[in-house]
Amino acid sequence: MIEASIYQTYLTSLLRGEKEACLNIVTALLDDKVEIRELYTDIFQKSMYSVGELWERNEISVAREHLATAITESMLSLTYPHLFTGHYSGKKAIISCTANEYHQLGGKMVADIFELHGWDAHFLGANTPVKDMLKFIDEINPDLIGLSLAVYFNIPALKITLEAISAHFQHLDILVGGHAFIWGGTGLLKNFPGTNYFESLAQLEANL
Amino acid sequence: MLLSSAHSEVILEYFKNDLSVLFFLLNEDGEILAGNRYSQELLGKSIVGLSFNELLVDFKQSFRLEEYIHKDGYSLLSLSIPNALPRSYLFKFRHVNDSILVFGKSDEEELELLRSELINANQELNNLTRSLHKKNAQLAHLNTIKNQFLGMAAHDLRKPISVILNYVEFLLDETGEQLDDEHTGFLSIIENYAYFMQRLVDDFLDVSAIEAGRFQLNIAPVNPAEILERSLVLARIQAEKKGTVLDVTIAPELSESYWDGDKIEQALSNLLGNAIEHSSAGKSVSVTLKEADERIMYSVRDQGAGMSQEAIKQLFTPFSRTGAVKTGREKSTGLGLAITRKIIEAHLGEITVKSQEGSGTTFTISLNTKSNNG
Repeated sequence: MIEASIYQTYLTSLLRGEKEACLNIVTALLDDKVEIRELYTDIFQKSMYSVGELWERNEISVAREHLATAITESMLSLTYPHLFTGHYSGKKAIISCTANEYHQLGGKMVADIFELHGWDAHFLGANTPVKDMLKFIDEINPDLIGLSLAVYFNIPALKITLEAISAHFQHLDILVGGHAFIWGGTGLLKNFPGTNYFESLAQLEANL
Repeated sequence: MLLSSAHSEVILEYFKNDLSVLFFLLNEDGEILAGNRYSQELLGKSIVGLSFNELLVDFKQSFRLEEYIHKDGYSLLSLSIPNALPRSYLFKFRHVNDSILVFGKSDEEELELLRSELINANQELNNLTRSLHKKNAQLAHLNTIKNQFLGMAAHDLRKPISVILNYVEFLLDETGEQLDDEHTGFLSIIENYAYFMQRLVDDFLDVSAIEAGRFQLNIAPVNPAEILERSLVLARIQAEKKGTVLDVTIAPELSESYWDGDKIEQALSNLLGNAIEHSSAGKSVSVTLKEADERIMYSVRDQGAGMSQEAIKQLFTPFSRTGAVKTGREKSTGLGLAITRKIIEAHLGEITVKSQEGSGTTFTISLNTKSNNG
């Protein structure tokens, strides 16, 4: 468990846009052999949830939220030498954002959690067109595809994506998650059997 | 609803003091008479009295105020900002009585485009970083598997090669006189190739150990001259066969040094073997050993064909072929110099090479008398 004071210092630095300070905190935690999953859930996820809430309450601007996201993405790369072993259990996952979804941080963290559990997790990034996604699924032949959705008004794009994947790859397990479902609900998923919603990294981990 | 003059005053006050838009009042000569708060914050408070032209980034000095006064719509101009990058604004000029009002606003569309591009570029960079780390980890893992395979294969090959060598040497020693020259020649060929295979397997084992991080030094006090003498035993036999002259100079009273003596002997043997292989009959290989500033220096110089600078760059890369001519058609594993460098680097020493096509090659090993390693 990462100390609350460390988290608070990290969050303060993140909101001020102090990348160097964030980098020092994360580097020190990694030097102290902190569990990567703890870093992801107790620092990165928790701080970005706080940033999201502050933005929703209009306490910080869009630009400040984007800066915090960019800093957090840079922080993820500090974990990569510890995260990637090059040794896989044989299972493959594709994690992607739907078309028009430009918030990729959550999806990338999900992909990294899969890697942590020995999966070969391919991350396609933000705003992935459906046809590109289908092509990649065809090439990689994954055991699972994860779709990340941060903004609820992209739910129609998710519907189009789910329809296309279900039509082309009937037996492929689909995972969805992201902030969009908090506002938009999960009603849509009833029409797509085999599609599961996970509300947090912890819940995802418990099911891997 | 119509705006009253009271409304207009509030709006004007807001415009002058709060909005992030530029406002200047110029006289007809383009001299700045006044600016709003934002213009003063952005450009410094000393703008009054300056010519408007002086605020602009105008490389060709082509700005003519009178041309802009009559223009419809906005004109894009860039301002030079003190201690910051220049900024572009959309300007509008209006002639009112004897003065000129200038309004400037940011191009919001352009800023938004820039912001989106920055976010995209940052995301792409981070995704590429992720892919790169992932690929590196995969390559490192494959390299480990390769080294394990190499080590196992080399280890399993060593015993059968030793058996072949023993039997061939036995046949040559015991039955040599009963065989005709052709059959003796066949056995010699088998012996030569078996020796080559043994060397190759030994080199593979060394490379496998080095790359797997299992390369350990057994540091102990050693006499640098004794190590050289040990490596010269085999070199003298090789040189004699080849008709090459070994010219050895060893400085007296060398410091006792702390190295892995066997490994340094292996490195020297590699250099001596190479020098002899690249020397023709009658040519000499000069070997010198000396000490300066607590460093021992071994130097091996041949009079072979030498190498190009391009070949020197590839010299220590495993399996590289330098193109340097071996005078007796000797076979090389392509690993000897790579291993030699690893041995020297493990001792925190240095190996250098000087060569010119047509004028031979000199290798120099420089080692601290007290290796800081191990």
